[in-house]
Amino acid sequence: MIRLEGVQKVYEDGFKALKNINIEFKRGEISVLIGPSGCGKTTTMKLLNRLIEHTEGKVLIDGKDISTIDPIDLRRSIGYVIQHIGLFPHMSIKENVAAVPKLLKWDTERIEKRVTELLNMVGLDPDTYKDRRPSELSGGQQQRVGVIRALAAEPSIILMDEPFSALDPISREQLQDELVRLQKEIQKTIIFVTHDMDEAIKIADQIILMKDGEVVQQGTPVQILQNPANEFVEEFIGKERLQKYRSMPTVEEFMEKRSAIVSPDMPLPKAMKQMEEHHLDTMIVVDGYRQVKGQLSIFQMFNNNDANKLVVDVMKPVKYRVQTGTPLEDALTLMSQHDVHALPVIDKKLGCLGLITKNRMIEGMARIYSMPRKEGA
Amino acid sequence: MEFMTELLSYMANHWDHLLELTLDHLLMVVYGILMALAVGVPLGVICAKNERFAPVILSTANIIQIIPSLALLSILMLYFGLGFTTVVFGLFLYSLLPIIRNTYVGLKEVDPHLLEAGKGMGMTPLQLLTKVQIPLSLPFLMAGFRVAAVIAIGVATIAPYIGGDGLGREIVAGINGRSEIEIYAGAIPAALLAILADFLLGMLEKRLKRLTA
Repeated sequence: MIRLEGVQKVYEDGFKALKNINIEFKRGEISVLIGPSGCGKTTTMKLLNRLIEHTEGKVLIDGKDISTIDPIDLRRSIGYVIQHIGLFPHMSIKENVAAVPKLLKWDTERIEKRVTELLNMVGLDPDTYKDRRPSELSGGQQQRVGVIRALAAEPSIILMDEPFSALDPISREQLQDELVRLQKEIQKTIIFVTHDMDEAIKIADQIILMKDGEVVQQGTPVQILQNPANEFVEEFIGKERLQKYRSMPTVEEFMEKRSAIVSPDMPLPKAMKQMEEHHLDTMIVVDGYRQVKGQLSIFQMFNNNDANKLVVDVMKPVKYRVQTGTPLEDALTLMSQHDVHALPVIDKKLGCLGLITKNRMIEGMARIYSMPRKEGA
Repeated sequence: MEFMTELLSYMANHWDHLLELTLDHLLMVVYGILMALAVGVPLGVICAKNERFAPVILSTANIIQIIPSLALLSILMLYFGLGFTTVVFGLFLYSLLPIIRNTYVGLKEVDPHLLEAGKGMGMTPLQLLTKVQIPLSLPFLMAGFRVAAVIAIGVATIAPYIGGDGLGREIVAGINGRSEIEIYAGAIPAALLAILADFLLGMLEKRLKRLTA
């Protein structure tokens, strides 16, 4: 695990590139640093292998302050993939992949084995490709080599600086897919810098959104998409994307409106008939001022099956209610926490609009999860 | 036509002498350039690594280059005396500029992203220099070497004035004896030598370029 505690970077000319950064990169996860250019995302990443030194605070890798580790040793233990691929043109593919193991003085046999294994891992036939030069490969193939070069010495941490941004859209998609697939096997702690929100959503376990040297929001892609912290985040994500991912509906979309509302002075048989007609097991009792007075369940009605009684005589008080705009997910949590089947939905003026029931909720959830979504999200 | 046959027969008769002069000539050039490489490449590296020194080193080499060859060699003669060593030292000085400059430019031309990749993977500054920067700047270095070689072959023809040998001796002998044939017999091999060096080193340069592209 990597932790940044109160990290600042102030350049000699006084420019504050990073202002009090506190973040954690969890082991075995892909953490994506994202933001507009100049936000400090690349600077933050380069602190980790000391290509840039921070001026304040602490950077800890597995609890160890990295300023106490020799930068050369540190860098050899961390994989690094750069934006411009950066394969050495005068070396063969094999020599490129073997670069760090060679620095670490692995024996030739072990290097040979590792290179073969890695080339196979990204679908490049070792016999065909290992003696070729980088210029003989396509851009996508080159960056595959760039990625396995970073993996070569089996580091547990890999830094990726906009690694796919120079590629054509098709190769980019392919490499993103491959990275997600590969990560399932290798389980590395990956710090991935990008400015492409779609890329972040696709590959991230955790997204860290930055602006002007500060972390604006941090969370899983779903969390950020559903609850953007502020206008900047919304703008950065983009309206279109927000709408697409915000399709997690809110309670009013699925609530029963008039059909679930009865007045306190309604005779029980009439209320029962309305319940039957609309296939409900619970109804909400609302007075003429749209105030919730109580609720009426099918069990209460059976227990008090008296044609002369009114709704007000058998209804029970309502303990919980939800506001309009509450996501279905939250309403469901509330329901299961308090073991209730239905919740009245009230607007901001506390007037009742309707009732959300477990049945409707299930329908709503079914709609969400039948949508194509990112695996594991 | 008659002149050509005469020249050819002269060269055929004196081939062993001419060959010896050619070898002398080459030897001076090779020594001069090897020394220039030994000194110029490190100076070029210093320029590239430390920009503060670049203007000083490059302009000093430039000034040396500007001094007319006969003048430079004569001045050197005042200090080193007549002979082989003085010529070699002169050629060394003349070869410095192209070698320093091209080493410097070559190192500067290396794609900064490759340097970042190398540094980021944990290369020491020395490893970065020997494994990445120098190999990638070889085509430039080769171009400098080529220019230096051609210049040195040319300058070496005035060696006899300060007690050196080489093809210049034949030319000077021709001038003194007013023998057109002797002048040509010295000048033609010297010119061929320069052309050949230019061609061969040019090929090598192209090859290196392919390897580093």
